[in-house]
Amino acid sequence: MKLEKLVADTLAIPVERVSDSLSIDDCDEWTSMRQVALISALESAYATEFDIMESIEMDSVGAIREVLEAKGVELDG
Amino acid sequence: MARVLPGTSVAACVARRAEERPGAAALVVGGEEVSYGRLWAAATSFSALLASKGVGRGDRVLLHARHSLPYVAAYLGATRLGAVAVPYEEGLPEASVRELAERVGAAAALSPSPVPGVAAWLSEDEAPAEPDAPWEGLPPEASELAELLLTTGTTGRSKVVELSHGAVMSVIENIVEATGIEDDNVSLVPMPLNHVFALRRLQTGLVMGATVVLLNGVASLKRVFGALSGNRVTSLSLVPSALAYIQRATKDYLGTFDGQIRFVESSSAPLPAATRQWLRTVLPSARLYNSYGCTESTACCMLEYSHRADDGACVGAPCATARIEIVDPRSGEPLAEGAGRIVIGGSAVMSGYWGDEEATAATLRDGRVFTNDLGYLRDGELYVRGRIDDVAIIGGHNVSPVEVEEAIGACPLVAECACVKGSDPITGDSLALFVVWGERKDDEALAAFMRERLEPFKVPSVVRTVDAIPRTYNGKVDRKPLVAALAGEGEVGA
Repeated sequence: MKLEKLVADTLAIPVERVSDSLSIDDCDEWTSMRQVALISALESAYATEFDIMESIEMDSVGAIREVLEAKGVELDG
Repeated sequence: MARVLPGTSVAACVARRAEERPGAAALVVGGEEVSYGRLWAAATSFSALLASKGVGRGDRVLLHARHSLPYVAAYLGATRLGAVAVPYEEGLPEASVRELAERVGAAAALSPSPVPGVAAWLSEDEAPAEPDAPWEGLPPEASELAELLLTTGTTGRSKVVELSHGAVMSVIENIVEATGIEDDNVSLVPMPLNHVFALRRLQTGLVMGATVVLLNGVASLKRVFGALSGNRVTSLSLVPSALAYIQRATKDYLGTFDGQIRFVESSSAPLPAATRQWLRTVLPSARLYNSYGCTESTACCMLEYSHRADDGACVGAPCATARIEIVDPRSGEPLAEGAGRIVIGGSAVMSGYWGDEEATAATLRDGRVFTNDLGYLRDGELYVRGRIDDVAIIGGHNVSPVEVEEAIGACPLVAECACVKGSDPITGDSLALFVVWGERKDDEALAAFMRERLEPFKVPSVVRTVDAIPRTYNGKVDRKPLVAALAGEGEVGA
């Protein structure tokens, strides 16, 4: 639930709304500024860095999960 | 030589393009190409549907401004039969839609659901079927109303701006002449389509027979760059905050499209020097434009800054159909030199404010719009120093908060900032700075930066940390909540 909570906290939405299908297109709270904050929060929480292409890809919770898994990050540690 | 536009209204131009090249791509919506033939067929279907519901010349038609074929087709269809398009912000609460409908006396609405008090409802989900009885009638005259547009209302209640077909076409003429847009251009327009900046860029593309890619915002960089590569986009129309976001999130990745992108145009808010320099660096082949205007008279000055030294206040020479004067803010008399109120004349200005004779009389005189902007002319170019109301008088000096914002925005510690006028019991006016920090918060380093870059009287006396700078939907700083927060009447939220 770590990823879900991080997304919820950054977007200031209830964690119950966070699922893999939640995307930047259908979440009013997911603004461009919050996208920047989310990338930064993810890098800090998972001790990793995203390159430009990875950052561009991450426009849904599912996409975020896929990018993190591809980097070998343990998601719910 | 000035290019001649193929009609006296946007709808007339699109009809002409549909006749000349029905198979050419007019729009790309949701990844799907819409030809001029299909777009015009949808527009004529909307005309017939509106007419069948009793909508006629001069009637107001509310249009929920989504990046969609129905919205664009309904705009064309309504204005074609002489009705007045009233685009409204996507996602506007129902109560606000009802209020707007009542305010303008709407006869019809293209909206998610029927609007109470509005007789005719058009579903926004799809264009109507081809009619049995197409509407045939006289096209509107240049002097007739085409649109009612809401101002962004960064200060006070939004006004409803009346724009004639002639004014709309004059703005398009200005954009065409200033940018040199080609008829095979593919423009990306991700900004709100109820706002004059994006609406005019959409219309300019269609009038020129070019292609316009509609995208709802830039938050999804995947879709932005997907559109850039998938549709071979050749021009971008973005507000400064959208450009700053792309810069911050993707660094120099936009440079991948250098050589493909012919020009980038921004408007609606001051364009920071850092953003200009970034664009010059990543897109050295592109023409870079920043335009100045207001809903009451948009795109009246345009600056190409691709290859010139920076002065953030310069917005360029008046466009083809515009005239600029500087007058004394108090007397209204022309000023031979120095800064004063910017007055915009020419054929692109509004007809007035709907339902507000007092505001119209205060702003529109002899066909000229008396703005609330402070500026001056030098060597034929206009320099804008912010809003007259916002200018603070500190120690006898006129200080523009916008100028202070731009200077402080260059500090590496600052992600974004906004400056507003406050009050001080001793000096009268003061400046307050609201800061969104970048990598770390460092008050002392920021203070040192400000002392180094600004004259003492320009250094804000109050600095507050916020999570985000409030902006209107088109990216302009919304100073109302900042002023209220300063007065202890609210908080600036994230």
